[in-house]
Amino acid sequence: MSPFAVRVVQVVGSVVAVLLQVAVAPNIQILNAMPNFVLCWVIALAVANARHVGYVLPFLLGIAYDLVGSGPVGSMAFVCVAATFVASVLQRIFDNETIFIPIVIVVGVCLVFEVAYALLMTAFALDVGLLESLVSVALPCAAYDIVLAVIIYLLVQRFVFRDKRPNEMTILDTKIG
Amino acid sequence: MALNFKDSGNSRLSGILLVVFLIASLLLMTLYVSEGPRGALHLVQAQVNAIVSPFKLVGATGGAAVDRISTGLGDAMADATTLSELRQQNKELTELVTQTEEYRLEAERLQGLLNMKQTYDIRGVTGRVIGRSTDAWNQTITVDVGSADGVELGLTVLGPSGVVGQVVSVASGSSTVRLITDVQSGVSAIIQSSRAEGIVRGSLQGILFLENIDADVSVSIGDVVLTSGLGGSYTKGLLIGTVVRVEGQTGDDARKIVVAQNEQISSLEEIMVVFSASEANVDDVVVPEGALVSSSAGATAVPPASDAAIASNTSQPSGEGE
Repeated sequence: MSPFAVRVVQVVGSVVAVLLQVAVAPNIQILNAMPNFVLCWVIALAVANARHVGYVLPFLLGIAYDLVGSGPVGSMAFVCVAATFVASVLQRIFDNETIFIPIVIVVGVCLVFEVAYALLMTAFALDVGLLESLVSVALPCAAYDIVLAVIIYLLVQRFVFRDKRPNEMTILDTKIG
Repeated sequence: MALNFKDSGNSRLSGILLVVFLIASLLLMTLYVSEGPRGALHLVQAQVNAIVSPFKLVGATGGAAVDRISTGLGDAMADATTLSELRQQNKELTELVTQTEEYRLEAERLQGLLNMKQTYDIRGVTGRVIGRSTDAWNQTITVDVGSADGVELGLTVLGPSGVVGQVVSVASGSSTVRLITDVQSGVSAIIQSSRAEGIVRGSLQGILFLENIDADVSVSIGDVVLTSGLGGSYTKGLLIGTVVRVEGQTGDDARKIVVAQNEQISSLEEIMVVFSASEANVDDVVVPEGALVSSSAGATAVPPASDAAIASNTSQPSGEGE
């Protein structure tokens, strides 16, 4: 896919992520767990495109998430930008051209940054204990996000950035050394 | 600023952008938290919420449509061996019954709102729920009445059988209501039988807790909890719910009192924003029949007692009340 086409996919995917967050996420909530399409998209994109990552889109997406919701404006923007940085750096460091490491990174970053968002919410917005917010909301949401982010990553990797790793779509094909 | 999505080869610029955006995010957060509900960021958020509310409505409608399609598919597969004529007839009858049931339920809900309005002599505006919170941390609903209908920040919002929340942001044609089950909500409350005052607080799990009740006050399951009007944020004497669990004994400072909200939020479709109401005598308030009493253990439906005539505005719930 040409660089221009990749950019178009990134922008269109971002718009779709926000629309899904507004229209779909509230209707597929399971108990307290609601998916965060924006964070999933940002993390999947950062891992799939780790060497060419930018921070404008994650920032704008985070701001959009904050504005369509009711939480403090800036909180998800912070999380999206930081998650992009961490995910891309980890991917650059540990990338061994298999599919296993990126998935581990996607899972780990989803988990860590849902916890980070919980920290921000308890610090800035909510009068509840961190443990309660982790158990009640952050971890259930992280579980939901992990599943979605991995699916999105696999799709993005397969259809958008497939030129980068043509023959490595196996989980256990890990290079050593 | 240019949309520089791909800043490879310029790690310095990338690093600068990273730091700038992180600092900007923190500054926005700080400003948002410190500015109050009438601040610029809150207003922008309210406007954006108003702009995206049609998408929320589409999503909610789509969710209901998916339910109907799956039901329809199940029915179609079950009828595969019957004659096509009977299938067609059955389909039409099913649609008719579904539609009639929908009207009946709507009429019931509106009757509930009308009863509330008469009980409290409420002046307000009724509206439909058109969206729900887009994140897991806030329990809010978006309704299709806004400043153009006279809605203002801080007004109490009622469902067919009790208080559901408070308006926290207003745009021209829509408003956001923070539900009383939200962890940021707190309602000054009074127990009807003992007159003990406390605060009903929401939680992340959506459970209501009655706090700040004196330790020596006896609280029993089934006690009715009403708004006390203290602090002025909620109209006095409106029904919140009933006590369903008391953990701890009288005299125990750490006892937990759980209140089941009288309103079933998940099925809430119509609301009334209260402009003013006669301050009801808390002794006169009764839990309305037909109300859904929700609890963590599930919801118990009390059948409606009255088949009274439905208000003429049944098909048009949006409109100013008397």
